[in-house]
Amino acid sequence: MVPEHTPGFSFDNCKRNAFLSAKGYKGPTARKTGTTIVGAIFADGVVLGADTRATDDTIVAEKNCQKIHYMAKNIYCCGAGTAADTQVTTDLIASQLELLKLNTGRIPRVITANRLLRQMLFRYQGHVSAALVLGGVDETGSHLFCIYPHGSSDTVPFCTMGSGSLAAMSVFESGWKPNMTEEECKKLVRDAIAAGVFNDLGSGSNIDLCVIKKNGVDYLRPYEIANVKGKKDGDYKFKRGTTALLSTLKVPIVVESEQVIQTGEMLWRLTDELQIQYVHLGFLYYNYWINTLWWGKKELTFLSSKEIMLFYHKILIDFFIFGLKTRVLDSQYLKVG
Amino acid sequence: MALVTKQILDTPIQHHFSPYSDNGGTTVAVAGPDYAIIASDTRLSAGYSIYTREQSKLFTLSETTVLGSSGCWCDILSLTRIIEARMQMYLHEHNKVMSTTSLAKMISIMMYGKRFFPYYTSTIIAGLDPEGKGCVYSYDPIGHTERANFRAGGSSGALLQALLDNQLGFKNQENVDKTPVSLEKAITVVKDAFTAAAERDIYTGDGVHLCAITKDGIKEFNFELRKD
Repeated sequence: MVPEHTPGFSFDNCKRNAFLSAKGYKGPTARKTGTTIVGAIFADGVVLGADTRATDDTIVAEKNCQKIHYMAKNIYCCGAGTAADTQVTTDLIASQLELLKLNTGRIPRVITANRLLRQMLFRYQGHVSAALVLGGVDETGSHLFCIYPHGSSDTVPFCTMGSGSLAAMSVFESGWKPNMTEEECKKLVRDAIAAGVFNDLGSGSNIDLCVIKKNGVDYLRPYEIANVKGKKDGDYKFKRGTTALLSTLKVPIVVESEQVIQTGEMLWRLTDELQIQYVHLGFLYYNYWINTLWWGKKELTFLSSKEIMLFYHKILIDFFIFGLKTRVLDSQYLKVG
Repeated sequence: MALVTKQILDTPIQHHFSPYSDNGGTTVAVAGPDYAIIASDTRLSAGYSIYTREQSKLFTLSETTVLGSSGCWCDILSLTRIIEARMQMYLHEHNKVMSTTSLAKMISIMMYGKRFFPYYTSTIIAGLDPEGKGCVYSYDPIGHTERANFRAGGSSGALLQALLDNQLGFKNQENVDKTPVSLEKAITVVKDAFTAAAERDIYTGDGVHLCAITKDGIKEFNFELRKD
């Protein structure tokens, strides 16, 4: 029996898992996104940035993962920490924001998203390990927050999170200034993410950006392919017959019935069918034509007389081409026969 | 509050001495009929940081033997320094350079000598044996050793050994010519193995340093890898 789903987390296996680990069993680990995520405010909005590497201990689990999550049309959120926690937390708050928008009929504010995220994370006392960079634009202006797994948050003009946060912050500290242009800000965010990608082993692959302005969002994925896949020198295609066969079985083809059709005859049969179709169509359009001329019912016509002329021309050309093809096919068949 | 403080003060605090660090890195070696090759990546790292992008982990011990090692970098330096000293002693005592096979045994004995405080390394040596044939010996941290035809060790060892088994040992392949591969082919496979490892192992990258050992001497090659 499948247990009934109840809202919120299920703690059913807590006791069992504690017992197993006390006996020395090591359970599987959750996937972490050793990450570089950043955000910066510029003159007309906010730029968010992220790398695209997801790691499973020392192995790269995903080379192009998406870390800039959708919250609302005017709000996006970068996530670092346990992959599942960042994904589910942002999804959950995104749906709450959508409901809020439908209930109030207003565009949600970034501070609302910030508070919802903080309250969710604080409730779970840091066990939901999501470190977030939340950015957006609303009627009160551009906003940027960084939110920590235990539920605290900072309101800042620029911020970095994840294992590459130190590398990225060094770029921001030396390059950020107030009221930058969009291009300046995008370049700075790119440089900050690149610093994480190349100097932090938990970050890597590509650079994604998300530019949020009053009049719309530019989601740039990828903004830059910072690392291309290595090219192999050797050829690693296996020749046919390399895979071992465990056993072989030959099944003869049994002929149940035979029917011989002359090739020419068959093609003419086809032409006949086509002719019939064209005649049917032609009759249909002829009828409409007569209708319009005789009764003067213009509204019934969906083809002008010019178009009907073109239609007949098309039929003639089609038959001409088909005739040619038939002849070519016929001669080929005859040669083979 | 006072209760909590008292509890903390009453509990004995255990301190650990942890002298080891894992500096990552991968080594691959292949032995052929008349050659041996050994290669390592050139990234030295710890945790999520890169110390340097251009540190080869290969040590040329003689004209016919090269050692490659990854793991705890300070242990690698100590181990190779002592091996080199022991080789000098051998030279002075016997008036000849140590052969690859003798060296292989000596390294094993030296490693087992530190059975209960081992050098934390994954070591491979490659070279020519006294008959001029290629040979590869691999070691675990406490001196277990075995001669092999090809071996991968270090952070991507488990990833690459399967690839070598298939491409050089022709495992799981039917109807193929199973004669040992040429030197050029072996270099290509080793280079591609590093390219593949750099895609998925965060401790392997930046570059490859490769030594090809033949009767004509040791030839060195350098290749680039991804830097993220």
